[in-house]
Amino acid sequence: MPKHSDHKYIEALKNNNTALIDEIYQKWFPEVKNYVIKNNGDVNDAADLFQEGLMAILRKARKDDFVLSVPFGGYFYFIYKNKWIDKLRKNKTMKVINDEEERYKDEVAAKTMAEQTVEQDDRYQLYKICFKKLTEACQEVLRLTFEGFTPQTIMEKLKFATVNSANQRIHRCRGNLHKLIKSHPNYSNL
Amino acid sequence: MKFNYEQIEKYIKGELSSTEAQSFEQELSGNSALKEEVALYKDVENALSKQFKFEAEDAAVETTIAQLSKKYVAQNVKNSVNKPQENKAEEVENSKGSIIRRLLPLTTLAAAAALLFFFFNPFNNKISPALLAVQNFELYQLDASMGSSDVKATWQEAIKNYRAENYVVAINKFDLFLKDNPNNKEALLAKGCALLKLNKTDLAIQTFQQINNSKTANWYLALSYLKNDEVTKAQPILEGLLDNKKYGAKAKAILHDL
Repeated sequence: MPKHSDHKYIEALKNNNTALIDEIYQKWFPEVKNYVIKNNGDVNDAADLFQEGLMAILRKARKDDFVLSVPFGGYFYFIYKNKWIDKLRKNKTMKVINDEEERYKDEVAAKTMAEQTVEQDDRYQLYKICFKKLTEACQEVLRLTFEGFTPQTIMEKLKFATVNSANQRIHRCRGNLHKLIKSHPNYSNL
Repeated sequence: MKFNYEQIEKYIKGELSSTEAQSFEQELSGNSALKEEVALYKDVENALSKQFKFEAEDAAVETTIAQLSKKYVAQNVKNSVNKPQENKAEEVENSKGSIIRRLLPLTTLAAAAALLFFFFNPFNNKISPALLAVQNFELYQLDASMGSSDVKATWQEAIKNYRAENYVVAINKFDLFLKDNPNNKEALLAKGCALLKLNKTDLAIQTFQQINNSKTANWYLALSYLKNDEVTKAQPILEGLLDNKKYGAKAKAILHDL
């Protein structure tokens, strides 16, 4: 699909372009603030939600093949709406009003893209939580693995006796991480 | 169920022989648990390798976003305080005639009071602990002149990278320096701050905990706990800083916001 002109905001996030990120705030923070305040939140909740939404987009954007082919406004709306509804769902007493739905009702492609982004971000958040629950030793060895170091280098850095023992530790820790992920209550929702 | 991660890894990387790959694929087609495991392996690898690859860059973006959030929240508060005064002036001009128009100034004043109370009621000012940590964080400033001659080069390399925001390299250099100087406060403080910038909050907490009798270390430890959403651990530390000249006012402000 062709690149939308709003793809500049995706590049802005990747390159930490303060001026363009500020433009994102100027254009869409009032809308997010109004939505959150109308739906049982306050301005600080809106700021947190805005931040989470942008970071979810950034993580999606790190995938080399990600191209924004829809307007940023619609894409961002469906992301922050999904995330806010999710938060409210966890507090079962709160109701949601779909206030901005009318404005974005024809943006089906944006909605689909946003749902994929949120889903990917939910998985990432789960993996991050479970990674932090590992022992320090496992975090250390897996961090080096994910950073791209070879078992040989990991053996030298962490002073394993042999490459084989480094590999055994890597695989054991990976198994522990997978176990934590699969036993997490959120795993079945993904 | 136990899985052979070495085999899974080789399969994904294409390092199995054609016979081995064929046999593995046959097993995959009949084993849904193994299929799930392979899919999970790929997804975790993709997600977490990207996280660590772009950790420093993403932390910088997060800081930018947090600063902009602070700016727009503050602007919002300022705009909301100005609005009721404008409404009041307009209502004074128009207050003639009907009962509704005579009552309107009173209702507007009541709305203005409610709005002011909403924004300035200390019990309603909810800022997340993590955002408080980001707002109050300032990088610890180092002195390049210290250090004995044999480790001076390492120390200066560490500072150079620290100041250039190459935190991963800086941390490695600090670790090298700390091998011979394990209790060096400056190195531990800087290393802890570099870890915080990389969002390695647990490791930052461990680092600051190694420093004894230091209000500065306590301050950064409190910020680390806030960033980790461990408010009950941050609070007593902040209370212990209330009398401190440098951190007392900030600690008081954070406790107020919490």
